[in-house]
Amino acid sequence: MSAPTSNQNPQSSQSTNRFAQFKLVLLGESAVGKSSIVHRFVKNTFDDMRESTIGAAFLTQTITLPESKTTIKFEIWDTAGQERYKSLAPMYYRNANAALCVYDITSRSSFSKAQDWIKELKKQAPEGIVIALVGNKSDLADSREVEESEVEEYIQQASEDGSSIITSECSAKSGDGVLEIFTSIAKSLPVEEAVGAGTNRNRAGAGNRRAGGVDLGRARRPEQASSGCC
Amino acid sequence: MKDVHPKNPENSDQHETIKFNTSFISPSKLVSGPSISPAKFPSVPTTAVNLENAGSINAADLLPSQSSHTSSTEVPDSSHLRVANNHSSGRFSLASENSYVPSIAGLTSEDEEDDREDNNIETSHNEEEDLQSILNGLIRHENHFNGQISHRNSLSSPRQEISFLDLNIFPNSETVQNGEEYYNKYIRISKDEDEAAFVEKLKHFFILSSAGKPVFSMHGADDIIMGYMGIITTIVSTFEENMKEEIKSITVGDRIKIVAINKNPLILVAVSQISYEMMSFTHNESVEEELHPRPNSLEDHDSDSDDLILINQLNTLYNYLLSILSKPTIEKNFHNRMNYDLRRVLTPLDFHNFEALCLKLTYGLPLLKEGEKISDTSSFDFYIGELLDSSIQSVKIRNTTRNRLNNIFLSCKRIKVKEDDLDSEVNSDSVSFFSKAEDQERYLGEDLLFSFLTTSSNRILSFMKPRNHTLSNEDLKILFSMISSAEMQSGDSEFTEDLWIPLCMPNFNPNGFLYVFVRKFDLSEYVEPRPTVSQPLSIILISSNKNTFFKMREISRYIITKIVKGENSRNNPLSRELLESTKLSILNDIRVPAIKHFIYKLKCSNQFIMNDMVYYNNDRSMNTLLQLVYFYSILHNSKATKIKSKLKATYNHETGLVRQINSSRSESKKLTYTRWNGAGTSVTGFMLSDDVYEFYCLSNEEIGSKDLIANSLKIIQWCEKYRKRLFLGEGVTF
Repeated sequence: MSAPTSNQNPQSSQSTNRFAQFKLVLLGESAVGKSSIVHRFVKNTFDDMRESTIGAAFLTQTITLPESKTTIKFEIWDTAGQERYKSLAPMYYRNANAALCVYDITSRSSFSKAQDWIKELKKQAPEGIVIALVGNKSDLADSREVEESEVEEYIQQASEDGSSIITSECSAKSGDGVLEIFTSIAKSLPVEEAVGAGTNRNRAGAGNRRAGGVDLGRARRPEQASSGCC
Repeated sequence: MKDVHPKNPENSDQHETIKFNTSFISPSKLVSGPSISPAKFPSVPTTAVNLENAGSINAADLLPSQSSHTSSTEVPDSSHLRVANNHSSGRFSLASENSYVPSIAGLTSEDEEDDREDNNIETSHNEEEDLQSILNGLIRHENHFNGQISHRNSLSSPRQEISFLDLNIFPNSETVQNGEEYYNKYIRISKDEDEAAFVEKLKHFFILSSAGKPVFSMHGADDIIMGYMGIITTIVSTFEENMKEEIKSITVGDRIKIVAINKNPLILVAVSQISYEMMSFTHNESVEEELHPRPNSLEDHDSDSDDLILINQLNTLYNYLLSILSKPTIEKNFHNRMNYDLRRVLTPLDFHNFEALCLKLTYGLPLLKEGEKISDTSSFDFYIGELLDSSIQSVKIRNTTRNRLNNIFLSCKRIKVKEDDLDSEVNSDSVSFFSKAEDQERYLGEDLLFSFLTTSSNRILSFMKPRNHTLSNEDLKILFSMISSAEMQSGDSEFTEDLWIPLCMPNFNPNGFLYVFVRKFDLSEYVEPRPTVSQPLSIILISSNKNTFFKMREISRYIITKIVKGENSRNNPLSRELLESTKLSILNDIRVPAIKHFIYKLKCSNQFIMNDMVYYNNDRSMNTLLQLVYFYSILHNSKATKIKSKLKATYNHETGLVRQINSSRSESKKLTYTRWNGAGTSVTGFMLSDDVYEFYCLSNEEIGSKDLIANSLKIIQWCEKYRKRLFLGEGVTF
């Protein structure tokens, strides 16, 4: 039977098949709200009394890009901002496709710390890593210490040096701008390559992580070939 | 409150005796008195080594003191105190060398061979009678001292709810209206700037650098603490430099004890006004003296044992610091700069954890937010574990279930994956668990050292360890404290959050880190139909290699799959079994209505079980919790010394047979009986131990010695019969 006569729209069936998976890491000074951003993104919750992260936490969340009809799964490393965990950071960003360098708009020191992270990523992280400079706590604009113009200036400077950085402000507390950040990261990622690499693989297992089974159908990421070692 | 803090020596009570206890070994004199202790103050004056040359550093200048002279203190007539306080209490202990072997006869076994143990039917009757005779002796003894007959008021009236204030567990109970007010004034952690409120607190912990920089204080704002830091460093360094020895403790009369441990470059200090923390383990000899006077039998006394409770608490705090930083990190930081501020590397979570530890160690209380009620008993569990010498609590599951879990863990070590996949970090899709091919394969779990399956309350269901390594219970305590503190962040089971925590296990290796993978999952989600009660479990995998997160994650998925689907097609899934069996229901299983709470500790594995505290007072309130903490502390710390009593002679001829059969268990039989009267009710505490077990129980109903013994033995028999279900055992080794 010819496909178009089935009740399934070929286009939509194709859209559910387009699947890509990326690794993402959050970096930044202690208490800027990295975990809060992640939890807003993954759970859509916010806890004012959140305690600091110990070591790191690993979470996943899926979004769909309507334009390209692609499902993108983020594997997220939420790292501890505390100085004593700094030596572990390379193992989190080493294989990352994207990094969120988070600062607190009410803290100047956290902004320069975020810039330090960007510097380190340029040197150490895989080539082509998508970097986002994210100012959290936009709900506290009254006590703002980092002006948007400063950020623009910094981005300008960086682009002259040949690197493009996504920049945005958000509030994990209100939820403003959080999803947008992840969406714009997704759009900057090499989705087509990843989808291409993943099309031949069976992804029956995707999405049943709650059943505790082994996820048999993850897309292989293109970076693994290029980045080489672990 | 009289302020005897070193800061204001001029205000101190002139009648207090201050004793310094140092590591200096001097000819010691036992200064403990007899110990028929009234409830008001259950411990006898502490014993300590007198520092003979204390005058040379002019101790009187540092702390107010008449001299370092102490003498045997006669405990006042308890009946007098009873009038004063409307309370009385007698505590007697006795170790017998008779052979009381708990029998396991009399209970019909209901199932499973693997839970069955040898029976000793012959002994049960004798033992019960013997114990009863001894206990009756003790009770008569108590009545003699109390000037009343305990059993006269067979309480037919419903028993009254007593407050912990009525028991005079803590000082100054009379100054407040109710327990909550007392808690807020004397117990609750406060970082206030009010110094008067600060010195009222019953318990203080300080962590500071040798240079005097504060790291942590349980109470008080920085401004208040600073002065005290200076005093502590002055005292510690004065002893160190002038006398070439370390100060260990300072005792102010019988009201305050200050204990310090020097972990250069850090000093840890505890200050306590809590009677049950000042008890020494070896003072309970009243019965012995009554029955068998020993003139001039004062022996050398290990002065450390007086301070042991507080020393252990300080070591727990120190271990926490080690676990997050490791020893080399701490030393390196201070090596570079003597006045380094260690707080710079600590997170708010660390301070939260310190505070939680302080409350758990001292009172068995959780760290509560304003107005929050106690929601679980994990802090009480922690306290009892600590009290029973770092014992860990077990969960009751069928032995076959435990073995199957152990085998699942063991099989994790045999999972092979292609070399490729390991090197390219992780790709869960290409990991094959059962691949037999040999070429280029490595073990997925080659860096996996320790595995634990635990309940949400951190009780271990099953564990695996390498043949030649173990994690001490102290290390486990730190591990679980850390995981529970992270638990708040992932309470929702709707999505998974895997943790990867670098942690130093101080007893395993204080110089390096292990990497802890934690996956929490709710078992009830995998059972059809889905049960109403959730059953959160945690898989904890400890690796020696920081780059193995994804391997550990793969292993955790494998474990979950095996638990919910069964190891193979022949086996039933373990999930239902685990859902049903993790509740300890002994007080429903056997009829011991008068016993409201018990603890049974298996000595060889240092593990214990106890029933839910809700049976004691029908609640899990702070009031109940503080009472249980108090009663068990007294019962436990009243460890009887081994004595030869007349009772032994009395019973020898009766128990000859038993002695022959069970001579190996006859040597260390001990019992302690305690009774608290007051506020129209009475509480009976009973401890029985031998080489195999320690058993503690409480009854807040009127209970005769006959029933007390019979019911206790019934529980002990039950515990012995189900030992393999109740206790974790040795785990599985690879």
